Amino acid sequence: MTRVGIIVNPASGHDIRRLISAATVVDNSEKGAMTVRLLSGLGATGVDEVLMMPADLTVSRAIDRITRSLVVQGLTAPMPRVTWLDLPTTYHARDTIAALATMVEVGVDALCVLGGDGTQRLVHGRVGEVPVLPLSTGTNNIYPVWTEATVAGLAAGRVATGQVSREQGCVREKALEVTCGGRTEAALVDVGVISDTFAGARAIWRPDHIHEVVVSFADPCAIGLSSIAASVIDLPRGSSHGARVVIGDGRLHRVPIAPGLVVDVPVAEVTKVAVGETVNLMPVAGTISVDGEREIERYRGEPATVRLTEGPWRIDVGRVLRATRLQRDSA
Amino acid sequence: MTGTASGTIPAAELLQAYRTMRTIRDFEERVYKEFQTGQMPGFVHLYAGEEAVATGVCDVLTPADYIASTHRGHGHAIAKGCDVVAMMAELYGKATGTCKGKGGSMHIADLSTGMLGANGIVGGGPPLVCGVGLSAKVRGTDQVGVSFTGDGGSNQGTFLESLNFAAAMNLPVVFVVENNGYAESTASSFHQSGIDVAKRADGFGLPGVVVDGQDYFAVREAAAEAVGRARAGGGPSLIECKTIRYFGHFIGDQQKYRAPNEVADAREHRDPLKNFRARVTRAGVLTDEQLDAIDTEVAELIDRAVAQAQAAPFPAPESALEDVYVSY
Amino acid sequence: MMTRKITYQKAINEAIRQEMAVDPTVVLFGEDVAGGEGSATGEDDAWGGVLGVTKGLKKLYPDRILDTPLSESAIMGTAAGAAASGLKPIGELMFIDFLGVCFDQIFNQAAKFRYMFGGKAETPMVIRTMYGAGMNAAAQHSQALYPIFTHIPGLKVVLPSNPYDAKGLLISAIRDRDPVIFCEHKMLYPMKGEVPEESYTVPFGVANVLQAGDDVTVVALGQMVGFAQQAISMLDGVSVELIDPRTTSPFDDEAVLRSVEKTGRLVIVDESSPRCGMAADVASLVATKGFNFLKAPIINVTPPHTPVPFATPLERYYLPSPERIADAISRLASTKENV
Repeated sequence: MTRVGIIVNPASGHDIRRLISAATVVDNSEKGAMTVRLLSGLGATGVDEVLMMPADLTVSRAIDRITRSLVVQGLTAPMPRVTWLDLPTTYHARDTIAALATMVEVGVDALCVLGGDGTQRLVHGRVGEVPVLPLSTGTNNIYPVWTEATVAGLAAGRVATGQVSREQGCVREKALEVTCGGRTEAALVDVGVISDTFAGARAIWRPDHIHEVVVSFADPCAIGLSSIAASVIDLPRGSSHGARVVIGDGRLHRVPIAPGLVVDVPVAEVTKVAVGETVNLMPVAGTISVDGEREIERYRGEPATVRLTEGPWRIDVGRVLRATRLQRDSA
Repeated sequence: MTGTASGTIPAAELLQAYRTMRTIRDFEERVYKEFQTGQMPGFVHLYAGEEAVATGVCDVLTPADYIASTHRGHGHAIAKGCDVVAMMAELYGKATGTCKGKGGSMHIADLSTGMLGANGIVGGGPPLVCGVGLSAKVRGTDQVGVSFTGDGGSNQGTFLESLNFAAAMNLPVVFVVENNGYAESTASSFHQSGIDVAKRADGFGLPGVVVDGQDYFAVREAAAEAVGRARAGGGPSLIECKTIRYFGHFIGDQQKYRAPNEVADAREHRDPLKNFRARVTRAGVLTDEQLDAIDTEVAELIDRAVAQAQAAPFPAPESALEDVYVSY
Repeated sequence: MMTRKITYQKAINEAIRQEMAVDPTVVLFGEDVAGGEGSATGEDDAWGGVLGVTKGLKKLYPDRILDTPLSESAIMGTAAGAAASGLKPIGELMFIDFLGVCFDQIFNQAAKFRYMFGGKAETPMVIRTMYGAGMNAAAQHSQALYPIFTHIPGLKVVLPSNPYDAKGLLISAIRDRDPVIFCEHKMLYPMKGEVPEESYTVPFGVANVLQAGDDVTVVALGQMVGFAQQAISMLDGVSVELIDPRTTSPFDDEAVLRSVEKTGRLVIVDESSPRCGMAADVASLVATKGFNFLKAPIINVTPPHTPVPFATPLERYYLPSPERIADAISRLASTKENV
């Protein structure tokens, strides 16, 4: 029996970037519809059961309504059986963490995570070798992809059922583990040294508050802090290195720091960081951001380090589907 | 002052923020206690636990800006600058009260501070701040109107009408939703279709954001952006603050609908004052001594307010006939 | 003073225009008050109110004559909030019947601010609203609901019965510092009358004695004033004193009591429903404060206790007619002393 876990973060997509910039708005009915699309792809590839994290009613009712209408009309391949996990909902990150733990304990062949960078980063270190399909619920994210969920479901299903092997269809991503004051947080894209004393509304958009950025990859198509690194170095996903960028006294680079906000950032220094390498962050009093959100308040600039490590297996939709076609062609 | 990022809030403002939150907390805890003696009449709804919302929002407003409050309005009144001694007297129904004993807990208002009133009608406030916004726009001032509404109030037609009205007419208004998880005794997980009220803003084309209402810095930063946007002609926005009510819907509510450890857990781990104190002291912006001194001052203020309120005379019965009209 | 005759509708328009000219804080808003805002044709003064009462004002005051979304609660609340924060708003409630979807903002908010806040608030707003039967507008667009507003302490309620009063009372309403419900009878809009061009006020709480008489006092409101005049013209040999209170809150108790003291007989003609309506209210006033003046029972001429019907014969049957009023007056006049 093939089983897949689906995490939908009902609370994603309403951080302050909607107010200070022009960030995407994806409503929860759309998250429900995305989940149905995902289910149809999973079902079509032979996935038997899907474990669902408990969701907001606007998500769960949308799933229920659309699934019923598709099944009743016989319009699509059989859907997998949906089992809602019996977990409390607090609408905090702990819901996602608890759901991940339960899914891993019960045993899943793949995970699909719908949410932004803040949701995706919770996966690191919590799912072992289970392949993960990160689906973005907006266009402002870097780690998860914004792609058609039906197609993504087909890809995840083929990996889960073993039609395409993990090695063939997935990319081993890198992750950043930041440690400060006894606390460790994971990031999948970037860690920033920010001068705001308090985490406040969390997002980052004021360029003069950024002192240093460490990235796990630098994709010129990405938005946010990692775009600063991408303006000076090209490090595609899956490459062997990350990078560290020091801001200040250098050439100005025009970068997309937030949706609808393009700013000039002076870059003083850029260095490559190898997997396994630990970087000491600049001793700046303020906050440390993970994947674009101020997370750790670093009072008086106490010591902090970042280590570049191996991250989760990411299901690469294009690679899986190309591999499927190649298998078919050679058969 | 308005529009400041959290990284640059001056220490004096942080000290004032703490004073406001501490005043709200002590006022409410004391009212809870005094109410039990039977001397305080009426229905009282306490704001304790939600201090960071009123304070974070009102700290980015000017005295000329207006707020419309709710039945749980003591916190908003204090944060907007209403006199605490007069407020306490009002709760006792005394002649020296904010409203001369004619309003009570649910109608505390002081237009001289921009407090357009607590409101006994759930959802009563949002249309009123549309009026404030229109007034500012027509008169050419840069005033902003802010309404506070609970998760319960967010289900009222007035709230939804006002979102559209303010957006359609591009009014300088901010809708603050204090989502404390309960509309009276009914959980928001049941009464709201969709756990985030902020998402309703999407449908009306105004920005809606969610912040941790137990975190002064998160509320303040979001409020600064929203108020700054409204002031600059950028139109309305909605801030949903996820918060926690420490007491029942009203004093006397047995709260059997809540988990036994819910409030104790929140007081221990999610308290806005503890959270604030821990962070400003660890950051070295303020010292425990400074904050302790405020605790003492506020305790004295509340003692004085209660003593003066108890000693104050009741209004003359015939004054019931006054102030219905300006002229009649 | 130059006299000219203009309509009730034009008198209202003129009052608003003149007040807007002298007071930049006067703003009028509501559904279709300009009519055509956002239209593709560019004609943004297409309607000037659903019956054209505010036509032409948008061109004079484009920033102060504002179309709004169709949201009566938001409109009424906006008027209250604006009044409490520096404007003198005129909010339009297109039909008085729509009070059901926005009453809270009027009676719990605007009406009570001053009292609840211990006299520290002023809410100088006007709600212009259209009422009354006679146009086949049926049950939800024809009611005479002013007693409901009259019932609420904190509100003032005005019902002009002619063009002169319409202008003078509306100017008073705009200048008043309390919330005023200004009720315009839709059947009176075409009524012509002498109206001075210059600005003037008609005070609230001062009844208009349209004609003096000795036998019967007739108190009539709004459209019923004209109906009563027609009734009187049908009668011979009865000396009628006709009183138009002009405002139901405040109400000129003295004028009515003074008249009944003289005549001893009272007919009240009112278009609102008979239960808890203005006729019942005025009858109660005279019964409690002028009982000894009465020579005969009071007669109330009102519609029946039904909704307003649609078809012409039904609506005619519903409304008090000049014939019914004349009948009531002559019946009362024929009673002996001290019945």
